[in-house]
Amino acid sequence: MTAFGVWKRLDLDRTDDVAAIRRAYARQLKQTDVEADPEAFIALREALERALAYAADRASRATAESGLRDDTPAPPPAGELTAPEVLLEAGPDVVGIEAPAPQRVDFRIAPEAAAAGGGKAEAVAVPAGAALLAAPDLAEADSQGGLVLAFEGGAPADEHALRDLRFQRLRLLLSVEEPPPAAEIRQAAAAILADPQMTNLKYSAEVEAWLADAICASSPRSDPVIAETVPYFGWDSDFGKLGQPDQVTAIVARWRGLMFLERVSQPGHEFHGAWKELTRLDEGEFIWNRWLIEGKVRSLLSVIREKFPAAEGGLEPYRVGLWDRYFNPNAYPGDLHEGLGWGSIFLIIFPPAAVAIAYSNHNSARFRTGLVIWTVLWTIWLVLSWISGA
Amino acid sequence: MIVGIDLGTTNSAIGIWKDGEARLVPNSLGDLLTPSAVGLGDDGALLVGMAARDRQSTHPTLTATAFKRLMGTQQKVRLGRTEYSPEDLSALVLRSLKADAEASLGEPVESAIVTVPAYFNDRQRKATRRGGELAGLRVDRLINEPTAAALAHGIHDRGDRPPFLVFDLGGGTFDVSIVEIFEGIIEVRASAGDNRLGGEDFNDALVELVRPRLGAASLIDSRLRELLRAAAERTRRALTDRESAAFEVVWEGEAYSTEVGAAEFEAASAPLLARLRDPVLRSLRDSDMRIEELGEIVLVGGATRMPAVRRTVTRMFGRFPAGSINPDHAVALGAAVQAGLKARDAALEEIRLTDVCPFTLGVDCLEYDGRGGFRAGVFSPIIERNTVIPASRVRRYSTVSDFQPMVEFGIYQGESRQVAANVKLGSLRMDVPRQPAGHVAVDCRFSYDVSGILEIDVTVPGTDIAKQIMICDDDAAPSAEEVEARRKVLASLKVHPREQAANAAALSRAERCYESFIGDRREYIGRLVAGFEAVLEGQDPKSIEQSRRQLEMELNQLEGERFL
Repeated sequence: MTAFGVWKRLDLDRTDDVAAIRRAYARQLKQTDVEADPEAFIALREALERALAYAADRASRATAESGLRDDTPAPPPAGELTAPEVLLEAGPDVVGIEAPAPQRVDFRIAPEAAAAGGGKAEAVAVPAGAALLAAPDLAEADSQGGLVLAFEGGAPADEHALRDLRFQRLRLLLSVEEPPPAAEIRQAAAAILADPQMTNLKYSAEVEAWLADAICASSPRSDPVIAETVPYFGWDSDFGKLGQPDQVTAIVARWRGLMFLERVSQPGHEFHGAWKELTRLDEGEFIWNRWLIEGKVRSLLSVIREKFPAAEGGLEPYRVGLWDRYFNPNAYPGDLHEGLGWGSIFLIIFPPAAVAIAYSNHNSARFRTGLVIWTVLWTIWLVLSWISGA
Repeated sequence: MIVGIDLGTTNSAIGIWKDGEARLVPNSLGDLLTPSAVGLGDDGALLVGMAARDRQSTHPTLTATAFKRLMGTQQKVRLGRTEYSPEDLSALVLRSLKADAEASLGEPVESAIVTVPAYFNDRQRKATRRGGELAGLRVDRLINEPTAAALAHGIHDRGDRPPFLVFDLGGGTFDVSIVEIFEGIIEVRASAGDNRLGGEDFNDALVELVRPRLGAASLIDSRLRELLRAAAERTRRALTDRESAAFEVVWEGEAYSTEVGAAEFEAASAPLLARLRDPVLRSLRDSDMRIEELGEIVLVGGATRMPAVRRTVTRMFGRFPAGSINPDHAVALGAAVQAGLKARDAALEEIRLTDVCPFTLGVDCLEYDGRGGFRAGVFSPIIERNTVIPASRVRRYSTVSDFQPMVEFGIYQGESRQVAANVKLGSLRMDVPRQPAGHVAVDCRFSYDVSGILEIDVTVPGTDIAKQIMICDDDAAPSAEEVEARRKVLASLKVHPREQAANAAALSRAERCYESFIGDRREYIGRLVAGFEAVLEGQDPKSIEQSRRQLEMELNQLEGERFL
């Protein structure tokens, strides 16, 4: 069989054997003078990559087919973190690395945090993953209310179980119906990040991916987690770089928005007044002195829309709508129709009236009064529409 | 003869490929490493290497070190009354290395393979190449430092091995490369790095840590800063194998001393250690590998001797780094292997090396913003990072306004979506046929060769309009004539004679010791120096040699072995 294209370049028959492909590539590369003939190398490299892609495609098809036939075990429950194998147990000649001593971590919520929880007892469904844990037991609720995960029966069996529990706790907090207090969520996230195991690259990369997932899946409740994780993983410094996962980009955008809102909510910030106006809860109309803060509100809105789009969610939609309508009435079809309606009535009535004037008795006092009234009204309409249009 | 040169931030080394193996060439002091330091001696002659390094704390305004960190910038270094560019200073170091090799080999050296940090950008590479030219060397090829280290590491046994990671933390730069060896092909899968992180930063962190404790010595002063830096280097090295070390500095006749513990130094350098994580993760992601698939972790660069760094690496990967290679010599040895490859040495017949381009290259373009307008300054990548080089890629663009007379491409390197945050390499303008918007297509082809030289072809398909440029720096790169003129100037500079380098180094060291001790020990050193100078005047080579050895021995006793 004669080989074509890619396979000819590699001098190989079509195959999905990766080792054979690489051997063929190595053989060809040794016959190529890369510096003298870069074109040949580029073609060879492309042939290698295509051949490898072909092999990978075949391999994945093969596994998919065998997967259909086999009874593959069900995937682990969503959000379940596989306990990473970490080799921290080192030989005795190693200085400075000691296996972390198993320590007892109290998952019981501090009384003040629990009190802040609102005093409502919350029944917690034990997640599927919890069944994997042997020693710890998840208590449902206590008299204080709020969420409690406590160990029954002393120290946890091992570090893995403990770590698992930390993740489950955060997942629970992010998914229960009644929103738990922000401080508690934040604390749960901090506990995960404070693990000494985080210095292990593989583990921390897994945690990073898990947290990114968890944050995106439970926004906006996960905002306290964002505050902990973004500085920790240095996501912000990679913002806008190629190759940053979309999830992380979205999280950083949200974090920037939140930080911006936090800054403007400080009294004394340049836009603090405008921020107060845009987050006012009552359904009232404009405050009487709107012209005083008009400029600031306009700037704040445009800064948010341009740079921190995620922060708009932190404003009061009704109020934002009110101001938008005020700044740009033409953008709202309803208002536009109203304006045109009155305008068209005037436009329709005025020309026939003018014709009638031209052909009727000019000396009547009643007629002259009518003419003045029409002219004045028409002028007012013109001026009004000009103002609202600008 | 082709040599391989590791031009480092702190130390440099030169190696050759001979009789089927790579070896380093010692300098005139008999050391394999030459400090990358240039100084102006009291007699107005230039000192290079150890003699200059030792004068750094006594004559900070007459000494330049760590100039590699300035490569590719317009910054100049002032030595006495003359200003030198970082290229000039590198050229002086390269020339001294070249002289060492020539003295040892007995044959002229015309060309060299010079190593650069993988994460050096185009400008920094050009500057390094220019430095070689200024030293009178033809730079055959620039190779990446971690790649060179991998070459040195992989050449021993040439069997296949699982991909390994080269972790290169030098004096001023940090690089990570993932390398695989199969069938005699040494293939770099991915490189990443931080070109502003190295041992010097750890010294600065140590200085900041002890500054509050030193009382009067915490003033801001350029000479004092150099003193503190030199003291920090000494303390940092001492902390390599001890739990605590003294930080000692003598300033205006008074001695200040404080004890620094390994733990507190590690705590102070935590922000620097945290910066090691990102490049490692990026290289793993780009090579599409998991940590478990990695074979060894190979540590390269002097700063990887620090226990804190070793510990961080061990924790990161959950295993111990390989200790089989000398972190200071690996890069120069690898450059020597590459020199052997270049010379087509028979012993390397079956070895091939492929490297990658560690950063993304592309042009700026306009993007529709969805509200009928355009957003300008959006980066459009053409060669993605970690593409195997040589590579050639093309992308098509089209005009955005009706009857547009020309197109202009800004050429950028970097990873940011906005070109403003990337490095601009140059720009290209071309007239195009006047037609309605979107009717004119422009093909932009980037070709990147093995030494990291970028070539750009722009064509309008269907017409004969084409333009081609070899990319060079935007802001006034010197022309060939200017480089040649500068080379002549440097060649005419008075340089301290090579035969007397050992004497100069001993004197500089004695002078530094004189300043760093007080009391009777200072007086004693003063007497030693006076004695040695008297022997030097006698000009009898044999007694000078003897007297120098005596002086060095005495100094070793006073302050411990000297280090590179």
